Amino acid sequence: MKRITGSRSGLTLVEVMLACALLTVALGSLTLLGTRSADALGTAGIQGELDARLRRTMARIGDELLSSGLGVVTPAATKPAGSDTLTYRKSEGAVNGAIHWGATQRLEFEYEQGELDDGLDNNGNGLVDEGVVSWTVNAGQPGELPVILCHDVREYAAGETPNNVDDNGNGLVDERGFSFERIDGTTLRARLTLERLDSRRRLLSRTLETTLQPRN
Amino acid sequence: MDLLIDRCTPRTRKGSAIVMVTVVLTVLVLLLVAILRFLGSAHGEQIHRSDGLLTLYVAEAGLAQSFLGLERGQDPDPLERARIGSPDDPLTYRDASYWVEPEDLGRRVYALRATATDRAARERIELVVREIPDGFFRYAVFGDLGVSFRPSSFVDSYDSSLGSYESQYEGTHAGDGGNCGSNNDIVLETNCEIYGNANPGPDGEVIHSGPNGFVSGNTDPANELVPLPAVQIPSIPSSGVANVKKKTLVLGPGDVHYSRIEVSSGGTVEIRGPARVVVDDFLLRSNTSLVMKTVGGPVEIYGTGNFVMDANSTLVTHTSRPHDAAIYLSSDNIDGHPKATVTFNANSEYTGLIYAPNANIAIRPGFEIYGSVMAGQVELVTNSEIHYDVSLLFDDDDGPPEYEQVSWRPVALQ
Repeated sequence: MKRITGSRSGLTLVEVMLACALLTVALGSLTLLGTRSADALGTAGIQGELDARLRRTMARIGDELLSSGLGVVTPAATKPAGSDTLTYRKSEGAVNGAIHWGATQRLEFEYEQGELDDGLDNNGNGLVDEGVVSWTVNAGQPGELPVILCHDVREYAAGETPNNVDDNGNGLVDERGFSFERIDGTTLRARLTLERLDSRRRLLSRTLETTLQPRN
Repeated sequence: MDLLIDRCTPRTRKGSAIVMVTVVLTVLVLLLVAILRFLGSAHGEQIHRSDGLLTLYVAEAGLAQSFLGLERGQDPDPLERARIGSPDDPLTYRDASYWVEPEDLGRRVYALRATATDRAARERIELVVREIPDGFFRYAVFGDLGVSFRPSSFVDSYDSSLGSYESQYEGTHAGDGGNCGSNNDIVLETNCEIYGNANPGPDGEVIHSGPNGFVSGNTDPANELVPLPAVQIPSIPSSGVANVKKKTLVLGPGDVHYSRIEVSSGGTVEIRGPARVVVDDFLLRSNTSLVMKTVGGPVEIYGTGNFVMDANSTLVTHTSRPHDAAIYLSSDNIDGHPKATVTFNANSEYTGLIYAPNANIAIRPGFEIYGSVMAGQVELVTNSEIHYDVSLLFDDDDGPPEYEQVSWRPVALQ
């Protein structure tokens, strides 16, 4: 009986405290690891989502401008100003041996609905003065139809602040988060910067730059 | 009782562990499935985009191949030169299939439509090209020093390869390709009509010196001067002087040179092609005829001095193609010493070309031209008419044709 009772007495207090301490450390580490992993995963997820939206938007813009021609693209969008708006027309084939242009369309940076150009987060989404990529079909004509291609566009491109200086060294001064630049007589460069807050309210931004050669 | 309790307790604990493990595993599996689906959809989007780009590039390559065939191919039919594969027998590049179907849009304009497919991706793009004009006579009327359109003068165009001028005439005019040009100014007087462009020289302008002057095309100044090279007179031994009166002088086929031909009333000069006839002084008086028989080949008349077609003379051309009959004059009635006399006052419809870089040519109402006039200076007298043949834009004998892009666009898949 004594032997049985002794075996049921269990661990000593020291052993239990040691076990508790080890368990605490292990669980703490696990929790920390889990939290950081979740953070990293969340950040990577947001960046991945921004990248996907950048690619999708740029692909759409590329498809739009491919069948246009620099002869019908305005403004000139040359350095150092570039342009945050581009008006263009697309080929609709040939009539009597000459190219037939379709209706005027426009791609431009616009402020997000409810957002003003005042350095404040007017719409309370955590982003300041953010904009959208707006695509307008039949621009300035009856049946004008605006379409938002992308939200969360940074007001100014990554690394750029409104100070009349080319802060990010890309040759453009104070360019918007969505901007065009005419490189030469055949090529345009488009840049798009998107931003979002992550779960810890940190601002994440991603930029995609592509060159486009309208075919006409 | 103790024994029962002892047996039951461990069973309960084992069951809860299994439930917990099952729940955790289920959650993990669901998470894994969600992650895999997310990654799968992102990958699928990437693949779709990649396939779409690949098919676009393959279609572009097909267009390039078709364009090259159009310019360099041996087949006389441009459509066959440009055709690449077919929907039933496409060409392949790696996993992609492609073919190009050309269509003749008329007036030497062709649409090349390339289709490429790769797995689920399909792209169809259209390139419209036109033959680059390489003919010398690209204007209905061109005057180096200027062109004047007197009241109610008229210029339009037709295409002799499509039929007669009359068959293409629609109400007010035939075609809109009657382009007029100058290295200097173009003067438009009352009610003159130009169905085409009126392009003055780089420093010139279109001057409206009367109301209702009409130009259907643009009046932009040319970017550069148009050179008018000197006439190359063939070197042919002269047969001397011919006076033709109440008889017919037959010249050609072959090369002929007369220092002077004077045709008096009732006389006729008949030139049988192919012939090159050099006449230093050519005088066609009233009630005479100059007949250019082009059935056997083209007729070219070269004048170096006076070239006179008096009123009531006639000029007959046996052709509907202005390429077949040409009058080349090196005569100078502007700055010559002495000034030559150049007069086209015949009552005729002339199907042919007139080229006189040193002469001032006046086209009179009785002398209706189906072709082109290029001279030092041109005046279209009141009620005169010139109908430009747009087939003159192209010189089919001057090497393989070259093409330029008109339009590129993606087109809907049928």
